[in-house]
Amino acid sequence: MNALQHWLLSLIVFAPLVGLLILAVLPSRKTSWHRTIGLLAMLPSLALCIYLYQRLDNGASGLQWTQKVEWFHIGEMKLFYHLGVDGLSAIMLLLTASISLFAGIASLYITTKTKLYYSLLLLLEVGVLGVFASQNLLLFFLFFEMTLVTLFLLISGWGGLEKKKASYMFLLYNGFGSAFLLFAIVGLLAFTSTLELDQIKAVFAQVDLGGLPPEATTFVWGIFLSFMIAFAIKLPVFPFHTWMLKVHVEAPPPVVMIHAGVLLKMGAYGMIRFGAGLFPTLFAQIATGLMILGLIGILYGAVLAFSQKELKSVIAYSSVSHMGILVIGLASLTEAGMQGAIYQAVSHGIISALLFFLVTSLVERTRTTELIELGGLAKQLPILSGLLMVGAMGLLGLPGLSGFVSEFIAFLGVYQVNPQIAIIGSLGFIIAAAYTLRALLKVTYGQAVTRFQHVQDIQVREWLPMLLLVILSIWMGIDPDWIGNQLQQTIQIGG
Amino acid sequence: MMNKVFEQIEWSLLTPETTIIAGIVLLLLTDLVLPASISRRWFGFIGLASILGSLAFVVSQLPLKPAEILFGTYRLDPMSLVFKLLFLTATALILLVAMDRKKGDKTDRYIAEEYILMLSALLGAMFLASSVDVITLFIGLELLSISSYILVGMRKHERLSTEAGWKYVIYGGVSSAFFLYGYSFLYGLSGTTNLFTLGQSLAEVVQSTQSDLFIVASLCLMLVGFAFKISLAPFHMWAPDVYQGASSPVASFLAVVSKAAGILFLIRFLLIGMYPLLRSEVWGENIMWALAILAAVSMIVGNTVALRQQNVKRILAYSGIAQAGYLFIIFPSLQSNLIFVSVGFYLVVYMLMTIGAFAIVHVVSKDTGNEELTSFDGLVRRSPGLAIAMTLFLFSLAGIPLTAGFIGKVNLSLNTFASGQMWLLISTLLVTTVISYYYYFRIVQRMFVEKATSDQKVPISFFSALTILVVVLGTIGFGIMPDLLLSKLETVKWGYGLIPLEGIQQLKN
Repeated sequence: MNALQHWLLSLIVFAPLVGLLILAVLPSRKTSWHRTIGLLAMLPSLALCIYLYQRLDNGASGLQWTQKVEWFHIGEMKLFYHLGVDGLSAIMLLLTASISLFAGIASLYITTKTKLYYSLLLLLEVGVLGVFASQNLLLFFLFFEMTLVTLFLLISGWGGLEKKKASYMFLLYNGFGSAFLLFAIVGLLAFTSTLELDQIKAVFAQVDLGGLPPEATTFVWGIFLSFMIAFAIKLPVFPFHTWMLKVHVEAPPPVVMIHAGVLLKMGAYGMIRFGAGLFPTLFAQIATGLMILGLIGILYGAVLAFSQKELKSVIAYSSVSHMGILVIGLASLTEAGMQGAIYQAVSHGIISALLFFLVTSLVERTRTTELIELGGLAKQLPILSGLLMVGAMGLLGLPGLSGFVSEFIAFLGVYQVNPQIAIIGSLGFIIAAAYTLRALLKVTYGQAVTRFQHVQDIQVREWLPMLLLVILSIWMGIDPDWIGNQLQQTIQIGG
Repeated sequence: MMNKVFEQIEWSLLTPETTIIAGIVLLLLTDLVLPASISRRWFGFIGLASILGSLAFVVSQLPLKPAEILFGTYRLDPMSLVFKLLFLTATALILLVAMDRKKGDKTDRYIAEEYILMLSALLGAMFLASSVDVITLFIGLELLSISSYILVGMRKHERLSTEAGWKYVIYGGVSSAFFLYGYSFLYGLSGTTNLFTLGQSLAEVVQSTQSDLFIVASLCLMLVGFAFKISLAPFHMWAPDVYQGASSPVASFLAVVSKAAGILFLIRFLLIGMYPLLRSEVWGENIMWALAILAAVSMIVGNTVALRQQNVKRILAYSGIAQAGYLFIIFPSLQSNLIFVSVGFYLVVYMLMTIGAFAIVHVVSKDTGNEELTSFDGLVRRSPGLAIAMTLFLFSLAGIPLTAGFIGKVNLSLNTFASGQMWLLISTLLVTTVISYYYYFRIVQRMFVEKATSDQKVPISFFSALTILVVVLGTIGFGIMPDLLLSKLETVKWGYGLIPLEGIQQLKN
């Protein structure tokens, strides 16, 4: 038991690597083997994540399941390999492990270079899991970069027509994000001589930021803003969102499931952990500005989603809008707002995974996602259309599904501190209903397109995982406490 | 009289150099005696043997008490030993790659010369490492340079190679002239070529007169010379052409050994001969900024011009310019002792990844016949091992975590941060690093995404494979467990390389 205590997180993070090793020795022609191994390799992490989540002591403050080993040192400064979770990390780990598995299942239609594809997918999962489990900033950065490299290769290898442009756009935007992050990390190391999250927190808790000499104040502000910009690019906060639209549209849809479902949430996670967590007073000072950016994101994304001519773009812009809700929730700095933001991260993860799973199946059958070429699919594809409707309802925030709970709580938090923004932001709900229904109607209703007459509806291996995602969303919509209970401690500390 | 002097000198200190000289002589004589019809491909083993022998002697000198011979011009201290180890290891690895030759290679006729010149260039670098007198430093540098000029022009049947040789001679000559011209002012002031004496008399000059114009002017002239050698922008023009014209092993020799030698020369010169300046205001006002600008311009020029290159060797040349810039961000804060560990670590890492990348370019271009980007198309399906190794080197050059290059960069910027100034330089480093992602990832993308032109495996000799394996292990090993190297470098008594012998003896008592 004791050994498990120490090793559980390492096991969760690195378990997918076993699959990578097996894949490496498989011949490159055996496509179905690659798929089986890839999926099997994702299972242990998921199982262990569920175990960890159930065993998590939600009353305890501080980290659980920690493992801390000295890694190396630069001069006097020691760096550690330090993993650990609290409620927030645990829920993100669970989300990552499940969404990755769903993405693996949805990768059904990837038929070229499968060996490399599943290897990269597993590496991507390792990277994201590592990000959420790291308690040392250097380790965090390491996993963060791992996701960057693997996602770049996944986009440029299996993406759509403009995959090259999309992959470089992704690389450069996120590369700059990483540069800001590294600047902040190196700065912190120089300032506090440690990269342990708890130690840095302790250092800043003792320092009176108001009483520092002006140079040091600038320095701390510089570090804080670098963190915020890095994660604002990742999330993305308006105006850093352009790369994300491109990735949504051009990357292979199963990869977008992970991208929209989990990777964007690394930005939210980073803001909570390093922005609000390490520099609460500074965060409070920029909160209003952040809220306004979030508000712009909500409305801008929603309005543009309404005018898109292509299904993936609609979802992409809706993501901008939904991340805006997350941002204003965070920036409200209230307990409800914070909780709503984290709910939104999870809920949007589930719903966007579902939607892009549906898009994967749809593209496979229709070869197009242009709204004008689609229509009347409800007749030919009743199951797919039905699930698409559920996904769309989740997107517009129908009560009973997860989207409603998270957005409602987030706005509740915002209303407490800034009613104006809450009121203007609620307009987003109305536009969301409009753009979702518009897209949904164009795809499923109306005149059936003759060229899709012989298209088969989705099979069990497709709709069963989709159904699971729907159940997850409903479960969260009806009983959000299974997430909320684990979060209490984090929210109090973070907020 | 003369005999007595000769007997008093402890010649045993020179064993590493003598071993190399023996190797050169042996190669020359064998080449002379052997009939022309017999292949000379195995000559590489003689070269390798002499390098390994020399390496063994250097290692045997390791637990060392600093010593000087030849009237204080030749010096054995921790700093020189570390650099000799670096030069020897690098040349041994490069020689292994150079021995991987195509059947009926046209340069086989000059194969003996190639190995001999590589050894003599190495000898120059080793002499330079142990010199604290401008005359011997310069002779070491010129031995290194002149051998390199010929090495670059060695592929006589190729126009580019001849052109590169000429360019290198002319640029190199000019840079030497700049250095000597600059030094002539200092000689006028101090009347000495010994760096320690130079330092002492400069200290008097700095104290007694207010105007340091002469010193600053001469240092700036000499900096031009150094910048040429290290290929810092804006004195980098020769590098891409020369790397492209030279064979890949020679190019990596220039990129690693020649550059490291230039950096060592600069460190010794600044920290011994110019140390009074470090404490004066002139440093903070002028020289620090000159160094900072060299670093910034190199990072920017290297990384942006590389974006538009189509030839992998040219990309690596520009990348090398940028890497020199990264290394240089720490020079403006020379006062601190931290720099040696950072610079030493980065040089070792740089050696590993550069030799690795050039070795793979050598192997691949041998097969495809050119060094364009397209020759890397779909490499992962032809030779997955090569593709993964190349990816690793490129990631390391780009500074992606888990590779040694990342730790090196973090270490450099951390120590620059710790000195409190120059955060602008660190930002430049980070921003240009992101720009560099573009061209490094472009090669990776070609290897993994594009369609291969053939299904054949890329042929590779045992020795190239061995080299690549060694550098891969180093690049990953120092990336995951940097302590292996960092802790060693921290125990080196770098300061002994900067104070006169009597001073060290006093320290011990």
